[in-house]
Amino acid sequence: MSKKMKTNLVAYSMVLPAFLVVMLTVAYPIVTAIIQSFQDGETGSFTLANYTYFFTDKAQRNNLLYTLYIVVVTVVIAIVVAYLLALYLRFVKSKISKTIGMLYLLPRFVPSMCAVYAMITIIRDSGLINRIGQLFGVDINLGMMYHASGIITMNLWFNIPFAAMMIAAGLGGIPDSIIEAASDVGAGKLRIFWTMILPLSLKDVVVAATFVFMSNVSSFTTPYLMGGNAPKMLGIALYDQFNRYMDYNRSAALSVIMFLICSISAAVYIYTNLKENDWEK
Amino acid sequence: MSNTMTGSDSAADNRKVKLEIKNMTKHYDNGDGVENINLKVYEGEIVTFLGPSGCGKSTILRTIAGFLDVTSGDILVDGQSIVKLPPENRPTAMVFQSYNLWPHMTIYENLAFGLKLRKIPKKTIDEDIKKMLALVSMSGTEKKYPGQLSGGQQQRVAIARSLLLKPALLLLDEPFSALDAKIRQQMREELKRIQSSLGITVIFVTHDQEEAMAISHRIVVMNKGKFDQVGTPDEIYDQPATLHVASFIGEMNFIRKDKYTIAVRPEDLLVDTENGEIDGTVSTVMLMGHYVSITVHVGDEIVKCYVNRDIGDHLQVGQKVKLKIGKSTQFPLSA
Amino acid sequence: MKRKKGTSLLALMMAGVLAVGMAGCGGSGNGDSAEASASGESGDSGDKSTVTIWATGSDNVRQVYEALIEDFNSNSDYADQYTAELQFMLSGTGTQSMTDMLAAAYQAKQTDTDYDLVDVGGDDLSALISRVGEEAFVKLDDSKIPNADRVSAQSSLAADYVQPYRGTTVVLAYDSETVPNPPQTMDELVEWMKEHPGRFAYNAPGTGGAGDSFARTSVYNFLPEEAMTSDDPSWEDQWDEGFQFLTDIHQYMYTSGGSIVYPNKNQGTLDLLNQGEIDMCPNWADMVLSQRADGTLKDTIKITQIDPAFTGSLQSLAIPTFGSNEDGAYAFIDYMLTDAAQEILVKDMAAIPLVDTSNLDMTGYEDVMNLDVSNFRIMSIGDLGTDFNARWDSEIGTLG
Repeated sequence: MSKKMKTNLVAYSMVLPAFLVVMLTVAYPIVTAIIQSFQDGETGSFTLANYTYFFTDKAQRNNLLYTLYIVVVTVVIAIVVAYLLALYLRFVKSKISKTIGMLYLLPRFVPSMCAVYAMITIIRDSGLINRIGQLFGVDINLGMMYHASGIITMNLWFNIPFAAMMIAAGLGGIPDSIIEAASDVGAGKLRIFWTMILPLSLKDVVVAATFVFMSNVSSFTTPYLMGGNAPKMLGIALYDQFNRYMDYNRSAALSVIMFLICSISAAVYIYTNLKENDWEK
Repeated sequence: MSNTMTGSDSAADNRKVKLEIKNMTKHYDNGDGVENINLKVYEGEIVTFLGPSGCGKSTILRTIAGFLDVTSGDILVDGQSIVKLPPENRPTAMVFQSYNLWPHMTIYENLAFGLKLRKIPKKTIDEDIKKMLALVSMSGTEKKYPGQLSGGQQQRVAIARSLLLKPALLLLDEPFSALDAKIRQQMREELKRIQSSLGITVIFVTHDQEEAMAISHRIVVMNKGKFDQVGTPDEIYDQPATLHVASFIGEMNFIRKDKYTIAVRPEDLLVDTENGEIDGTVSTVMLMGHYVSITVHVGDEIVKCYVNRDIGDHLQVGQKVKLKIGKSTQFPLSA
Repeated sequence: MKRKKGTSLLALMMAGVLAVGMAGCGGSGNGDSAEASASGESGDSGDKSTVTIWATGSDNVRQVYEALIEDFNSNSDYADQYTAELQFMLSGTGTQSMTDMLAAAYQAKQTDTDYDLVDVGGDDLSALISRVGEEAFVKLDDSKIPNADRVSAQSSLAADYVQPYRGTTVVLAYDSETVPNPPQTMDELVEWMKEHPGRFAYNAPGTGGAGDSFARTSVYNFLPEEAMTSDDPSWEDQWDEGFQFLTDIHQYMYTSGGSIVYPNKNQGTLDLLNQGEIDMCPNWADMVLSQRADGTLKDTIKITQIDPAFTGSLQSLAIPTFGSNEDGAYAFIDYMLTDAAQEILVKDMAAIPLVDTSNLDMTGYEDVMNLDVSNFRIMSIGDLGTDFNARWDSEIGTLG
């Protein structure tokens, strides 16, 4: 028994530093922030006002809805496009698909700030597209700057490669013989997609969607540089509360709200990962 | 050498031709492929494509199934050309080496999938599935998922799924190679039993010569994209058409004599102390059970012989012996 | 300190939640804490003693300071007595500012630190004075700054404790190609906006000083002059008229994607001006002029001041009482008021010099000479600025 205890002690002592770091840098601040979010800024007494503010103030409520709108649209478009891209990469064997397969992750390596500025120079009303239009005598004003469409476009730029990568990994795990067997018994391409490929890759799609969702709820750089004044995405609203109004209790409350929004998606992710389908048992 | 060898099918000309491959060529982008293939397969036959990996045997099978387009030539089933049809419209059914079954569907759903596409009434489907599972000795597994079955069981179900569609041709692409030896043996017998009870025509692909000998009516031995020999297992074993066939099938000694290489099986060499054409020295003696395996030094070469125990038991290492060649094939040295 | 502790914890939490979104924002925090770098006395072999100068701001401030320090260490009259060193904190990269650090060091009663000389101005100065008081700084002895006589400008705050060395102001930047005759007064500017809807923009207050200045002067033009330098919350009651004015001109502002937009950051409006999407915007004189000199702005972009003027500010130097090289600090202040240093300030950051420009080479920066530092409207409303931004965000920013 003593030997086993020794092994246990060694094991615990190896985990301890990581555990302490996590407790100190993650758990403790979260707990403190949650406490702070229920405190009145002046008196320190318990209050729900910090939370009710974000749901009753019209501008803040709009920020919340605006964020959800942008995030949901981003998730839906990014996943659909990424799925099509991943299908293409998985099932079309050509020089073009090979080239795309090598290049499609490139946007992940461009620093986000550079990417946002690059996008701005293209889509702004005096940008590249406008100038190309001018050559043909058309004045194209996309109106995407300071507008949800610009933020969504930028989000797609960031998230499609990421989602495609995850979905492609999932599709890569489907053996050819599964698809060929279906085709052999008489299923057409569309039916093979709905009855084989989609169910077998659904998990990866859900995981990719939750990741895209979470990363965009709290996005900052893109809405800061491309967003308008109102409504704002929650990342900017939090920045306002924290850095501009210096209202730390409301900041804490908003952080918790964002955390909860992300947890919905995190819960979906964990559920998908933990839940074994009947056929995986 | 011509690829239009017919083996022993002259005697069977009155049988119905189920599959005919005419001047079929398939080239891959990298230059590999099969060239100028001609073959007739008769109703109720099991024909095996046998050869080392990369010889083109799977390529031919996949062109028949429709997963590969042909570069030129034609493939006919029951006299109808099928080369232009997509896989889903061909009267063939294929069993793959592995991952045949759809992992997210139950056995019942796997089996019913093709039948539902054919708009067969549910009652008929249920009855057919029941019968077919009984045929492959898998009754009662309808509600299980493929992941809950062993590899051998999965292949049985895969065969059942193919047979349910009553295909004109059953195509099997190394279906047992992922299974362990004992199960493989069982599955061969099972396949033969099912085939003879249904009378279905089967094209089988394998690299395992023992498997080919065990289940085939005829074997097509392939090498580097071409047919080396087409014939019954007996013909292939006893009268190998090429050195490659001779070396690929079973144990074979190659003895050089004059301008020929003589291919002779270990059991076709007579070992004697006095009478024989070749002098040699015994180098090992191994008792294998009901027979004895001995090796004999002949010049620089080592020759293997199987002899009865009454002879073998008297032989000792270092003893001078004479070998007499029995049934054998001669190949000119230049070949 | 209690508030500060909560703040940094919250910052950690923010970092967690914003981790993905913030990526790329260059989170290189201000790693140098006061304690960590307190051993600043360098062990130079000669008799030269080290004077450490602390400054904060955008990167152009760092660049000009590096040029000044190099000149000070090699060419100035003090080159053989002192070696100057720079401790620079890039603004907007973290929540702990230089102000926080100075206040913390003072309140912790530290002595003999390397805060020998600090560069302060505008809101930083007022925040610092309100938090630690003037007595945190050495009352300046003009006899130790011979060049102080050359400067007439005086800080509006703690005048005896800080020495102004440069000025800058928000001006009206315009494209002279599309606006041949720029407005001279606020009324003319409003007239112009009405005639050219969508061609004017100011950046959202709180995202850059130019927008702050425009919005605040617009409101404080309706208030008595003394309100400009008061942080008395009672003045907030009188903001209504000014905010109504901002609401009225809202409809004439820059439009994108079908709605009125106030860009973020000073650079946001300047980019719009340079791209020709607007014809006019308030901006910092030094930003416009230095970018024009670099060639990143079109040559046709010019600056002018209107009446009543936008706010400007004087940048000053102050010697904390808890530093360790007072004489060296005096020497550096004196150097900063020489023609050589003032010319570097003009050339490298388009600052408005505080000494007589007749002896300076002002080629390319003639615009600066027309900006008279004595006319600067200084504004310091302390914490009211936060309320102001919040009110702007909810009343103007949401108009859409």
